[in-house]
Amino acid sequence: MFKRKLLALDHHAPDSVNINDEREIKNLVLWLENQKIRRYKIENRGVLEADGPQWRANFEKYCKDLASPIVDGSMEEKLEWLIGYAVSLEYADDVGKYKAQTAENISKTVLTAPKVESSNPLDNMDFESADFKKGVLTLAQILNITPHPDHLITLQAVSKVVRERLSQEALDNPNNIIVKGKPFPFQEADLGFDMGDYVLNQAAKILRLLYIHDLRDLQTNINETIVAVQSITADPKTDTKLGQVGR
Amino acid sequence: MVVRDYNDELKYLERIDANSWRIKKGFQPNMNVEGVFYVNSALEKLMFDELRNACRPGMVGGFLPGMKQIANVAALPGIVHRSIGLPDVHSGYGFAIGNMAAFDMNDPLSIVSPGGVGFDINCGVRLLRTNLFEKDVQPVKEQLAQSMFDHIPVGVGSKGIIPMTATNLEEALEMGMDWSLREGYIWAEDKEHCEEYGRMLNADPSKVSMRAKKRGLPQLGTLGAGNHYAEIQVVDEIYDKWAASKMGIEDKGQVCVMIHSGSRGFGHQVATDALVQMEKAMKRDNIETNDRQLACARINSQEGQDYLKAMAAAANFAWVNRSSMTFLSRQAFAKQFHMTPDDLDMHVIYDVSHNIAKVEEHVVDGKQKTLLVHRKGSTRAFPPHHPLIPVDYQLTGQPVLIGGTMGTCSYVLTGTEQGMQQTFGSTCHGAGRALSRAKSRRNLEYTDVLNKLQQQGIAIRVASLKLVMEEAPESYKNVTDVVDTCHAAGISKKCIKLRPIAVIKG
Amino acid sequence: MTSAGDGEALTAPFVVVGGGIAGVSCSEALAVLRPQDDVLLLSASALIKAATNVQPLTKYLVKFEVEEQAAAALTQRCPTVRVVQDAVVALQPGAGGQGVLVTEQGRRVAYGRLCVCSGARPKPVHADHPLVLTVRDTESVRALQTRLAGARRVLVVGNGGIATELVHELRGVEVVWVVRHDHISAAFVDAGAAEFLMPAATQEGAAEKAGQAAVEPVVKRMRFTEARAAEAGGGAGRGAALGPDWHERWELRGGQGGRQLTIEYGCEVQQLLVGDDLWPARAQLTNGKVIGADLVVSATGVTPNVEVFARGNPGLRLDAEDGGILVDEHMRSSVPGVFAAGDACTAGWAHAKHWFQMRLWTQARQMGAYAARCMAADAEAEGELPLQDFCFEMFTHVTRFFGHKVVLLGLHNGQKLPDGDWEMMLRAVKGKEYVKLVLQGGRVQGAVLIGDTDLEETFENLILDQVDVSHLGEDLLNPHVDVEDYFD
Repeated sequence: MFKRKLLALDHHAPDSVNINDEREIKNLVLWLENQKIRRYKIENRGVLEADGPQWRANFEKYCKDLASPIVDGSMEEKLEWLIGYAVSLEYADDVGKYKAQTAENISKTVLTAPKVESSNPLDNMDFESADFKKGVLTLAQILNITPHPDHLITLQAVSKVVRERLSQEALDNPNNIIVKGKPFPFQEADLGFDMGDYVLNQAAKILRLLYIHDLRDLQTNINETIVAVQSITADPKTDTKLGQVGR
Repeated sequence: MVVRDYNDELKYLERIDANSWRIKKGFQPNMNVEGVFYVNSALEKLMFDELRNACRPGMVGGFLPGMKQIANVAALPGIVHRSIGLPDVHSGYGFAIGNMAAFDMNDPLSIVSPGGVGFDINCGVRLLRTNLFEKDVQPVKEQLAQSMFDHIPVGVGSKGIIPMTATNLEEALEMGMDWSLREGYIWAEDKEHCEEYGRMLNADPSKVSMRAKKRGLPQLGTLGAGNHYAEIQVVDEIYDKWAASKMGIEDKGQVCVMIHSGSRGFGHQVATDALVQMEKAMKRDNIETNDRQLACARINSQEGQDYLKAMAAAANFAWVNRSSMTFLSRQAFAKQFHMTPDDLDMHVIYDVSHNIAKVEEHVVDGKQKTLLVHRKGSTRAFPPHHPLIPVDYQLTGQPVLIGGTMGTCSYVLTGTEQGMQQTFGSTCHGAGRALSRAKSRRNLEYTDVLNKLQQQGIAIRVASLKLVMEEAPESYKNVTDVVDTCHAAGISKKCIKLRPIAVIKG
Repeated sequence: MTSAGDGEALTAPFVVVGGGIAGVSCSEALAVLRPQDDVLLLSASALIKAATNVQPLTKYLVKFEVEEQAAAALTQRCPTVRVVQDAVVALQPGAGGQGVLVTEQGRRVAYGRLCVCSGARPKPVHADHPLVLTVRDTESVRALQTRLAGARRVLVVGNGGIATELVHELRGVEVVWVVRHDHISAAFVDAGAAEFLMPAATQEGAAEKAGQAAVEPVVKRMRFTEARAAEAGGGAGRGAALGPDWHERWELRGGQGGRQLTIEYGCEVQQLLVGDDLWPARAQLTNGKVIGADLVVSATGVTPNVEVFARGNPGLRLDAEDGGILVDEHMRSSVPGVFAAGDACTAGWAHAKHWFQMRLWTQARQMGAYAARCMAADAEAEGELPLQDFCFEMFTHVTRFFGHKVVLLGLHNGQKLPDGDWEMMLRAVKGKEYVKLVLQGGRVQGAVLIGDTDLEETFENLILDQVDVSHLGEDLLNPHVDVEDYFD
């Protein structure tokens, strides 16, 4: 709830605010007033720390003081407005800084500078280090995968093999999961057209095969969807009395 | 019909190569394009004999010889490239059966003709594979044939056993195999391996007469009589191992089920209704044809559009029909082998229609054109990589199912690039009748036919003895000649040969 | 079978009145379609009639035999069907479609849905005359059999199927056949076909000519006879009617050997005169002739048997012309909840071009079964009435006359076609086959096929499809022209 806006406000736990818990709401409102809105003087902010029903009344007054348009709305809507208001104040404080934050620029910065502290060790890894590259290569050799000059692509292949062939499901029941491909007579295969160049033709053939592979996945998805729908609609019936069957 | 001496007629015929002949303009009046027909030496003799007989003075007969019919189609407005006779061509109503022709959608004069589709709209063949082998089936062949016979309603006057209301029918006409899927009669994978994915999107049940609906409703899910059948077949020969394996056919002896059926009385009535309408349209639009059986209407006329929408509904009917019989066949096998159809791997290899008209893109004289392709007794055979064929066959080309006749072999072919160029991606559809039904009844004894089948080890269940003569292999051209001609001409490629071990017929 | 039940109150969701083909077909179909519901069949006679050995000859042409059965046989086949032998005396329709039937024996039968299949009874010629026997049902045939013993000459009046078959079957007695038309068997076939059938009618049957006995010397008995159940009730004019081949069950043989047939065309019986020394009965014909006979047999058509239902029910619409209960395309009468089928009803919907109503077994069976489908659908909560059965798109009938298979398709006698607007095409091989087509505008409208012609499917298709065959001209009937291959 409100994750993106709280993130923008540098809230300490943007993911985990529980708006069904009055205590957390109280903390959030207090935090917003203390850090961002600063409508009341510091000594007067104590009203937002009141207990029980009194807090409710004080909060309503606070909203009114901020000229919130949400009068009869739910708590959720009120908080939504309040946080939005804080964001607008934050923006107004430093228009110059935020103006540069267009969509294009954002996408660049987000990639390189994840602001959230992560406990995932992969996030701190240097994917370009020689060590990492060597690791990927070794992994590929173990799994019998031909390495690609770009080690990240090799890694993708490794990931695919692990996901598809080494999943618990696949290990338990290899015949059902693992497609037993048949060798394809690639050289004899007719491309259907000639580009006048052996290498180009080979490349076109490969593209065709990849395309067919994608198409197969699409068709499989379609079939799965149909089966899912059938589980709701299907009710095949026969009634031999209707016709004269056999003799 | 231009009356000429046989030798004069021959002047208009010219051999192109070992497997094809050209019919030059002038063979019949007003030909817009040339005709072509594909034959080998055996079939060639049949074609020329037929022409010679028709040239005899005082000949009576209902139908023109096949060559003349091909040439008359070449005189229809809007036809492009050629009027094409496939190796199994024989005389039919208006168009010969085994004649295909394409009309330019962008030419306002182009026509659509119900005679170019036939009465049994979307008559077609479906092939199911199993993971059984001949040794599994031979000992229980008779029981299995009986089980199929008990499950599938067969013969004249038979009624379907899948409950259908009028509303169900309307939905089925609109949705085709999607209806069968929704109701759970078939598997999701069946749709994938079906021409047009088992549904013509332009179907409009409101363009279908009440009479057609009344006629069709009780027949849904019935095999019908005539040349229709369900057969249990075994793989007899594999010509293209790799393509066969893409179809799930691994080895000789593998057991398959072939279902040959169409839209029954429903399609019949749709064609009938359209013929009546088109006779009026022809008068109004001053459309002239060489043969009054070639009733047609401009594609863009109300009659033309109504027919295409009603025909699409009939095509959907046929797919639902074959799907219903797929369901019943799977039940019959499951019962006999005490295994689920899933465990028997009873997948649809493919489903082709051989009586249909469809809008397709083709390259004519170097230009891409949108065409209305009529295939009557002719099967679509698209080459590898064509966008309209299932993903599993992108590399092999579309499977083409060629049903034989009672007791003879059937074939699976694949489409080729050459066929795409020469015949709008079309090939033969079956053996093709050589003797008329009446002649068959006069010339053959049903006991002889049945004995012969028995000697070949074929279990047979036939609802009507009359059909035994009419549908005897002797009444048809040799399917192997037909298929070999297509293979030699390069318009399709042999992949698998199947031989029947049990036949269920009307 | 239940009988005698004073004041008994019965209730069933489906009640069918009439133990003839229509009623039995209707009950059988209801038992299949509504296995959860009871069906009550009220039959005036102790025996019911069932269609057996049903064989489709083509898509829409169905051959079957009519068998008389005890009611128990029906209940055995269809356990939900209960048969009560009783006759209806009044119909009291209630609000909301349900209603009550009052019977002769004082029962009150409450129905959810009712199907009236009460059949028709013969229009008798001088029925009160003691020497006139009206042939309509099995009981009257039995009477005929008894009275034929010792008869020298029989006068047969009527030109319908039953009269035709009767004439064919009478042996050892001189027969004078009085026919209103100028040819025989008008109700079914035309003059040409009659001519074809004549050799078989006037001479001895083909089998007899070959020196074989055409009839078994032993009198064939049915498993059940009306006699055995006679005490139980079933008065005159009420039993279920005769079926095709009915004569096969009865030995009709007069006192004298040999057979002699005289046909009086284009006349009717004007009046019956007092007998003289030679003949107990004398009939004066409209052509002036007076013919003496031992017995006059009348088989002159039928009239729907629906008075008890109409009495006191002005809401029940009857056909002005033939008096049958008017039904719509779903076999519903004008009274909610009341359906009708078979000879009792008159098809009040707009008929398809190639269909017309004829009170025949074929149509009784078709209507009975179809009425059941409509009733069952009507009873479903969200029931959707079925599309009308395709059998009402084209007239079909198959029977045997004079030992030949006779197939009638469509407007086989030019019925409904304006005079002079249609033509006829014939092919006949004497004693073997006879094919007649009715054509209009180059399209086949009807066909009469006698003998084993193998053409029924072809002409069924040609009539339904209205394919223009004018270019074939006379060759349409040329056996070397393959019309059947048109429909590939």
